[in-house]
This record gives sequence, C-alpha cells and structure tokens, in this order.
Amino acid sequence: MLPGDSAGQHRRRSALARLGLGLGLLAVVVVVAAVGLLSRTAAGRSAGQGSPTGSPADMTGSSSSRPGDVSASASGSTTAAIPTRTLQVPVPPSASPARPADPVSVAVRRVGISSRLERLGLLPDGTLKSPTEFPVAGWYARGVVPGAVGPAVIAGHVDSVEGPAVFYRLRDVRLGDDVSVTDASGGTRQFKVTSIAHYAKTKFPTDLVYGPTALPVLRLVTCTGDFDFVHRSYLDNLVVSATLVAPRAA
Amino acid sequence: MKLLNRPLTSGRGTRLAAAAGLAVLTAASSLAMAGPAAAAAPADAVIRAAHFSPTTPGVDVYLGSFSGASSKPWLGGVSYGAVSPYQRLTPGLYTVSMRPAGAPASTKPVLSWTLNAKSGQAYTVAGVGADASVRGVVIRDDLSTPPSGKGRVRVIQAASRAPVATVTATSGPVIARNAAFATTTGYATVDAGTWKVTARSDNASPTVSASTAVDVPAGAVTSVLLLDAKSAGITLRTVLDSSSAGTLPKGSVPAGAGGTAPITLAVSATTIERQLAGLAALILLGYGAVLLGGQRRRYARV
Repeated sequence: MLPGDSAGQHRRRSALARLGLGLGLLAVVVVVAAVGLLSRTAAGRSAGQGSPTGSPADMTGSSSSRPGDVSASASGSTTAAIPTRTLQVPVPPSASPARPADPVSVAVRRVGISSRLERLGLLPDGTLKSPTEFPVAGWYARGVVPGAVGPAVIAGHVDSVEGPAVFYRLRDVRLGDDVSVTDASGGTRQFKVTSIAHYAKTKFPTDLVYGPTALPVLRLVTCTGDFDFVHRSYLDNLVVSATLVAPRAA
Repeated sequence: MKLLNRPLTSGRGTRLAAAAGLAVLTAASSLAMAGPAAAAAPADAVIRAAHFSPTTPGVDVYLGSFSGASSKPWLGGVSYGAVSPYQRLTPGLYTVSMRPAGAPASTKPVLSWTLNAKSGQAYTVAGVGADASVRGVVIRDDLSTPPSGKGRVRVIQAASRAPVATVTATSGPVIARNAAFATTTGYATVDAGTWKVTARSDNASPTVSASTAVDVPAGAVTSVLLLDAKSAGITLRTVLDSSSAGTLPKGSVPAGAGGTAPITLAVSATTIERQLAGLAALILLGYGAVLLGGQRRRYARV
C-alpha cells in the first residue's frame, strides 16, 4: 500500500484515492465502535464521576419519616458535628432487632424511578422470579426487608418488547443518589447509592450480590448490556447498591 | 464523519482529518480498555462497639485516627452486655478508647487500643475481662456466605461466673466447648431454624447454666453472648452479626424483554467492538505514517 519513491503522479493519485476509500471505511468503523462503547459505558462513567454537587434539591423534602426511622438530620455530611450518641442500652434480653414492615414502594427520584412493589419468590429451579408486570418492580420477599440488616433485593425490568420499563433509567443512577423505600406502615427509609456494577449473567457473583452484609443494604437489579436475540435475554445484570443512611463512625 | 470523508484534496485537510481520526480513536480505545463498567464509593469497613467486662461500669467510647489527631466521642453510656449497631468507617488505623461514662475527654482513658480497619471487613471493638485483666480487643466478624440452608453461630464468652463454659444446641451440635471467659469462639455452621441453646459452666461448683431460644436464619451470622446475669448466675443473648438475602436465589436476574436493545450487535459484542477498535487503530496508524512520509518528501523537494 505504500507508494514507492519512484511512483508517478497517476499512481500516487490512485493510491491516494484508495486511501480515501480506506479512510472512509475506517471512519465508519471507528464511529460505530466508539458509539457502541460510549453507550455501553456511559452509565458507569457518569457514576464514577459521582459529583458531590449532584445531590438533588428535590430530595431534601423527605417528609414521611417517622419516629424510629432514620431522621433527616442524620442524612447529611454533618456526622462530624454530632458529638455523642447514646446507645439504647442495655438491650433487653431476648430482644430481636425490630423488623421493618414489608416494603410497598421504591423511588429513585433524581432519575424519575417510582414504583409500587410486588412480592417476588423463587422459580422451581431456584432462580429469582422476575416481576410479572413491566412497569412494576418487585421485592424478593423470601429475603431481607429493606431497612433490616442484610441485602434487600428489588428487581425491575429494563424494558418490555415495546419500550422502556420500570428500571430503564437505573442506568442513569449515580453514586450518592437517594433511594427511598416506603413500607406497609407508611414509614420511609432513605438509602444512598454506594456502588454500581455490571455483571455478565454467566458470571453472576451470587456472594457479592446476595451474601451477608453487616449493614442494611438495598440491591436494585435490572438487565443491561447486549441483547441476545436468539435467547431473548440480556447478557448482563446491572446491580445498584445503596446503603441505609446512618451516621458514620469515622 | 463527513469531515473525515471529504478532505483528501488538501494536505492540511488530511492532516486535520487524521488528527480528528486519532482523537476519536484514542477515545474509543481508552473506553475499550476501561473494561466492564463499575463504580463504587471507596469500600468502607464496618465497626461496632461492645462492653463485655462485668466488673467495669458504663463507658463512653472514643475513636481517633492512629496518627494522633484528636480522639472524638463516638458512643456514650455503653454498659455491660451492650452491643452497638454497625457503622461505616473509612479503612485505616484507629485508636479506640473507653472512659468512664460522663468523664471529660481530657481525662486518661481506662482502656485504649488499636484497630487496623480493612476495606470490606467487619469488626467488633470491645472491652473484655474482669478486674485487673480488663483489656480492649478487636474481634473480626464473619461476612462469608454460610452454606445453603445453614447459618453460622459463635459464642462470645463474657460470663465471669462461668470461667469455662460449654454451649450446646439441644439435640443439635456443640457450638462451643470449654470456652474460657473473655474469649470469642470461631463460628460453627448450624442448620437454619430455632434452637434451644444451653450454656453450662465446666468444672465449676456450683455449676451455673442458662438456656435460651436462638433463631438461626438461613444465610445469617449470629453471635451468642454468654453474660453474667444481673444478680446471680449467667444468661444468654443473641446478636445478629450479618445477614444474607435469606434463601439465596440461584444465578442471574432475568429483567428485560429487549424492546430497547440496539439491533446491530448481539452476542459477544464486546469482543467484536474491541477487535474493530484495534483494527481501526492499526489502519489509522498506517495511514498516518503514509501521510507523514508524503509531507516530508514534499518539503524536501521545495
């Protein structure tokens, strides 16, 4: 393809023309690859930036906390200013930690996600049953109640065959976003997004997603990645983890 | 794209085009190297405090960075048998200290010890022992997943009235044998369910014992606290260390029907995209070399 030093004008021109054709093709290739990659990683990149300024104003009015729930004063970055917190001691013998009521709705307001929750169980093969309705997310009811210690699992479809479903915009969630869960007794608990991860379904890390945690954690799960049109299934899962808002030790 | 296709007519145009192409390519390849998209806040450790010393009155717990910066009040009025909820903590070296409840922060702590908190780990910092042997300890808490249908249980032996004790589940396993006061046993793996658990002092007269119902949820990790009871004897209490999502679902989560999926690339598109990006890089580099060569010749002729 390299024109030799002794090449004539005509030969050089045709070489240039071929190069032009090559460059055109190349441009298409580059743009297609770039667009594909950009769309694939956009969610992760924006999440990685996790701008502290991204805390939305419309979340400050968390009105429906009740006594016993995490209060709004504990949610800011003002933990350093809290001097001393008194423990409820001694814990009465044989007392078990209060179990929050079952969750009835979930919301990630900044990205416009808001849904009531259906109860999810397991299919006979032991896999998680997916929500029956595309616009409604589901809570894994044989697991942890949101707000109790451990990972509470909420799954929602990314899309139906026609278009976006309840968790379509989970891809736009960023670190630090607020997630709220309302329970059957009307209490609302606030969580903050602490990690966003994509996992290939063939290498789904069960322990990381469902394994023990010492804190109350929420796992919002949907599909992502490429769609296998043969098996009518996405190849990856998107798992957004949020931790119950509570004071830090340090 | 138009820009890239057109400007083969002038040398400056081609150089611009090549530069633009390289810019796009650089962006594409750097994205390709980014690998699977993931983001996480710096992984914290979690910590809780406990008071396991029957002869020590209530304490305030302070936490300070090991480098010597000021120690801050963390928990107030923690008395014997209390275990705080877990809180998040930036990994690093810390000094934990305990002062008598209400004592000014300027006074000398009764206990002071070091915690090396590692990312993703759970710790219980506790005052243990009695009288002259009171000391501060760091207890590592288990966050590994118990086998399916089972839970993990350990004993924190904090009963001075039972210098050595054995803890057994009725018609079930021995959870701790000959556990000495002021020690913590390893975790035993136990079938999920509610067990009647009995603790009995070994080689002590009179023998002291206590029983309680211990709930062992599947996938949960529990500590059984063996404590001196209020006036005489011993007592048992349970504390949840960590919990998994109950019966762990198998495999991944099916949650999409494909209505918004791009139709262009299907199976193993990642590989295809990376190969395309690599190919594009090679072609573009070759083209750049040709252009540079051409430029040099042209200048040489002038």
